[in-house]
Amino acid sequence: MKLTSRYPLVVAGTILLAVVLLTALAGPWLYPYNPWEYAGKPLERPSLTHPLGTNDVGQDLLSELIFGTRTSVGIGFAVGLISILISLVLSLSSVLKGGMWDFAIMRLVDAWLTIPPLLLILLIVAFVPPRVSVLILALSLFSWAGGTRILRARGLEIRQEPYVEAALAMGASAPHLARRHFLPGLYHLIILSFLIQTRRAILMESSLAFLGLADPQHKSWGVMIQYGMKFMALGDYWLWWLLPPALALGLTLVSLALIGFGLETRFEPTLRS
Amino acid sequence: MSRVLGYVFVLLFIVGLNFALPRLLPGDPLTALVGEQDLIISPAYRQELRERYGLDQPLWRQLVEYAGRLSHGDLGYSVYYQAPVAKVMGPALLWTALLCGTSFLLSTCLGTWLGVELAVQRRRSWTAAAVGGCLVLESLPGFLLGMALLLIFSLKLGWFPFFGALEVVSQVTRPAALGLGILWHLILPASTLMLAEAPGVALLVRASLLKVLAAPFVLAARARGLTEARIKYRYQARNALLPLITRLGLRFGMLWAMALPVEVVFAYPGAGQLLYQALLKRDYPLIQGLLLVSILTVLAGNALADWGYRWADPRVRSRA
Repeated sequence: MKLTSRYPLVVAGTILLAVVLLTALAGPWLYPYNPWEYAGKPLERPSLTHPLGTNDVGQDLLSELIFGTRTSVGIGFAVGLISILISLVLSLSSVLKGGMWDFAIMRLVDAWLTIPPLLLILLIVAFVPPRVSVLILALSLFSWAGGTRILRARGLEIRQEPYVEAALAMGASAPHLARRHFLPGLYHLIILSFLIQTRRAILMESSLAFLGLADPQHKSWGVMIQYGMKFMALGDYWLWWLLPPALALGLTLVSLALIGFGLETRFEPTLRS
Repeated sequence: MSRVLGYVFVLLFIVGLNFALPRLLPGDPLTALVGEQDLIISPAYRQELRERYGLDQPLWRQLVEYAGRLSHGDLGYSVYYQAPVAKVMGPALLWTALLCGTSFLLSTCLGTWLGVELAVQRRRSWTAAAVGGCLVLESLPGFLLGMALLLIFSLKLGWFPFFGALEVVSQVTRPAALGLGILWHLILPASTLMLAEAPGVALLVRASLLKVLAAPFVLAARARGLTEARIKYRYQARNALLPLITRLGLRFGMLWAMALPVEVVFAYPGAGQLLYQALLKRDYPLIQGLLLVSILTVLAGNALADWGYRWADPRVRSRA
């Protein structure tokens, strides 16, 4: 109860996210039909057998929605995880090694941040068939730079601490320093940039899918929206075809943003109003 | 100096990617150069094509020739439109520049104003709701916002046209009607981008301002009897200027990229729509040309922001 009143945004976001994650994990037991099965007549309206109706070839839309959770959220979390690992390795090595290595890494980060990721990923998936693994790799390739910069800045501060100097004087090895002294001081930033990168990855994956450039073997929310859009002008079909995936996507992104914003306010008291 | 090096590096990386991707592809790079429909051709003709595109040369010769053609502004030949890529892109780039420019200006102004108000009136209850609204808007993808606006304002209410950038019939009438038609078609896509952009700016300005609300220089300004508006914008908001410029430089590129799905939603005839069509038709030279020009634009925006940063920050100016 105390937690709720102190961090309302974080709690609300976490609950929302938990629902989405549970749906993703329990997906196979939840969806009533195989999302590729021609389960009904084309363009059925919502009924008891098909709670969200069917699409233009008769596949069940609710099953598509639940299955899409796995693809969208799965890609997002994979990219978040890979990019935070890259950021962590690069930033810690640049803090601990310093010198030319640090200079080179930071120039690379500066340059990387100027590239709009969506454009380059478009270029890549235009040539390489967009399997899920290709998407994850391409998205990770353009998501590590921001985190690296933030983690390095904090790492440099930690480096000045007396306890790090003491450990250095006693001849601590780099892996030991990283694990014992740097990681504990970086936890909150790691969580924050993981949240940010996950959110961006989900957003970009949905944009790519909306443009018809996602893996055709894995239905996702973006793919549903892409097809639903074609029937937007047709009666109320958007109500059960377009709105549910749009809401699911929107709520997931908003929940990630809420958790991030809430934690940021917690970590930086000047932002509290 | 190292900044310039960074831009050169990015440019080289992208030109290199543009050069390498079609050649790394499993299969024939001819596919990427002439399109898929021309693949059912006789071996003799195929050999002739290879020679014409220099694909029988060693890789480094190809790279030199590619760079040479780029330096002349020759971006290749669009397979689908049967015209030079530069010519096909021209009008589309102008439309996108209009769309992005309008929403960039509007979102900067609106975002700054909102951010200042959110910080100054932080004790009012409406600001909490507004901050929440900003968070939600900022985290939604542009195409979702665009589809919502499209659905409500043009399909249901019928206030705005739902595709294109021009009145089809008005091409023959007076320029005033033409201009009005362009404006009319611009409103929905531009407000979509503005709604997606302004909240981020507002939150940034708010955060920068919250740090200096009670700073001594604000008290001094108030003691001298300056007007509230002057204190707000000339003194407090000045603090948000530097992070804002940095962000705007980056955001300009993001805006350009975000315009792509939005243009597809509204069937706006800009560069994003053209790129989308090129992707559907596998028109590889056009895809490469468009992306190269887009990224050049983005880099130019960043360089401009760098220059603006130098201009706005007296500390950096005096050091240089």
